[in-house]
Amino acid sequence: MYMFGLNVKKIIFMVIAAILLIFLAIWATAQGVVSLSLRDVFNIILSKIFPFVKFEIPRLPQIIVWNLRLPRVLLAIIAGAGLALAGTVMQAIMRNPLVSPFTIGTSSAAGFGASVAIVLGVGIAGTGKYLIIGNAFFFAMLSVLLVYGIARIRGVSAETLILAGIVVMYFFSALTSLLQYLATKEQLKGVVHWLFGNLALARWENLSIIFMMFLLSFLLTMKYAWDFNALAAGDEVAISLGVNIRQVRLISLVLATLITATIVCFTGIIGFVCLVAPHITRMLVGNDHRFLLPGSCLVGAILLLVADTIGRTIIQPVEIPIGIITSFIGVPMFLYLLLTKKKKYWQ
Amino acid sequence: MNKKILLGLIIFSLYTGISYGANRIVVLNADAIKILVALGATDRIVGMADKKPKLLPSLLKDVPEVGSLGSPNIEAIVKLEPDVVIAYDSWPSQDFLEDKLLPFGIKVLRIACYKINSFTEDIKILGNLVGKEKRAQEFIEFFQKYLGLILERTKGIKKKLKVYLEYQDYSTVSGGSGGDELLKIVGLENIASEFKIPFPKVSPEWVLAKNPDVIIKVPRLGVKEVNEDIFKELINRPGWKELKAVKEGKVHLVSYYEIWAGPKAIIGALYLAKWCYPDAFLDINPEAIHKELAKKFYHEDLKGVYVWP
Repeated sequence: MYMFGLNVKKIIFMVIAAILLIFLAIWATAQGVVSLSLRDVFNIILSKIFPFVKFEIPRLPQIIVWNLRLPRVLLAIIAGAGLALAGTVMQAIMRNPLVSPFTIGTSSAAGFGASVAIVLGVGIAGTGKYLIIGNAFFFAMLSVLLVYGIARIRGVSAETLILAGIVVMYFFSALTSLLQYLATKEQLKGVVHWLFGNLALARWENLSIIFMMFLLSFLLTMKYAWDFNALAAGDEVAISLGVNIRQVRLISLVLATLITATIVCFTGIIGFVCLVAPHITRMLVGNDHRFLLPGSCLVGAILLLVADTIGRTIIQPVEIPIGIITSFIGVPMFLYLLLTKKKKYWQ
Repeated sequence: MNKKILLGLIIFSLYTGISYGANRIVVLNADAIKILVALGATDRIVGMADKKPKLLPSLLKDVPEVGSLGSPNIEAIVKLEPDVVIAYDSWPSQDFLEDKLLPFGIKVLRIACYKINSFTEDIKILGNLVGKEKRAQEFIEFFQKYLGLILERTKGIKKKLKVYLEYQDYSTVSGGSGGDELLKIVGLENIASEFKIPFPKVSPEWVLAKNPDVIIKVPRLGVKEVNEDIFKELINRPGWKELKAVKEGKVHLVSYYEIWAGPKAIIGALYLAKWCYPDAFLDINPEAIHKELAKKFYHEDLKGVYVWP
């Protein structure tokens, strides 16, 4: 069904996903140890945004919603969207369904950077509690330079990028393991905790940084949507269509790493969502990147938000690390789509 | 009171605004719990982290849990309306705790409570916090009495015995750790003290080559008691029949949770001293002292097996 040259079905999907996301965000903010109704949450947010609106709400729920829950919910949304975006972009430029910022070493490099800060207490960038963040970001960006540098020696193609990425991933994982071996019990706990991923450290000031970076990467990669579509048909086809494949690959790779690094340096390693969200979206809206990119962001945001909310409430007050829950939700969802969709979605 | 401690307390209370006689306390530090219980302040504990019922005094069974030590649930803490939250000296990190509790106006006290060399100060601080200074003084005196006795009697020992100390299988401790400190106090030499890594995993061959005089294993299996099975498994390791410690019967198990970590470590130290230097400690019965401590400060009648053999 087309209207004004646009696929109405796909647009309807986006609108439904966006409405679902907003509803889930309010629902998630109402969940926690201190029980609140959807109405309470709505009133608290309204009164914070519009100071002239006055509601009779006790102080404690206000602080809990505004300082603890809302930043965390928003972080889950932006991180989910950003990681899904990075996964979609990397799968597009490498034409491989198994690629994500995790398979090519970005997150293991970030993990190494964080471990250096936790275990050795030294860092390239930042001081105090920003040491871990600065280090994780620095090494994540370094990993992409390494991957691209190694790949260039043999000519930048999808295969060389993937192989170089895998080498870099194993290298940084080995370094992290070595550091864990040298760590004290407390430091080891810190490292393992970081590697599990955690959204509990969400703060308003960090959120704005991540959001700006996400917006930048999203807008710039959307510009390449057509080029990604051309790349899907093969390098030769893309070149004949006038795509500067080398430039597209390099810039997209850097953007995908940048957004991944920005997210994981604040949250620790959250895997899987960047691999599975693009696939789920591809099965639902197809392989046209004009829809796939924003669609993946919505699916990633929903996935991570639901996973984090379940993780922090299912056996409260104890929290289950978000990485574990993401897999528990993502795997059945993915399997269902894989087994029920008739069309070969990956083309 | 020691001037340094007094000054520290004054600065601490000015800095944090914690008044003496805190009534509602959330304790994330499991070793501080043991001290608070000994001070008779169990009823002040309104929340705690990582509840492991098998390791807890029965009085604490109904205390609500507030998440894990690594990621405490701030909402659960806030809901309990505590005067103060007690954490470890450097764990969990400040951004997980102080930064999150700040908007609610809840103070955090950071304290070790797991190092034998700082027990005196730690007990004093907690005693002041809950307004049980007299009880704290009694606890400190009990602890100091036996610490002094051990130091006094092991001072003159010329040939220090060499000890291999093991936690998990083939995982030992190097200099500066709590276990190493304990060995030093008893006048023993840790064969792994030179390692740079805090908890080195050593090779079976290395233990055979070092041929220690004494082997101490401190199992951490989630239960307080130790048993013969662990002991048999230990001495039947390949090649261990030839070890000096095994031949001379100087292989022992010690309960980590009961008498090794935390304020009751002095009991672990007494056992070590008696096993290693029996002539100097003929008149000392660690089991009786352990029972006395349990009765006097924890109101418990000890029945379990906390060392083997």
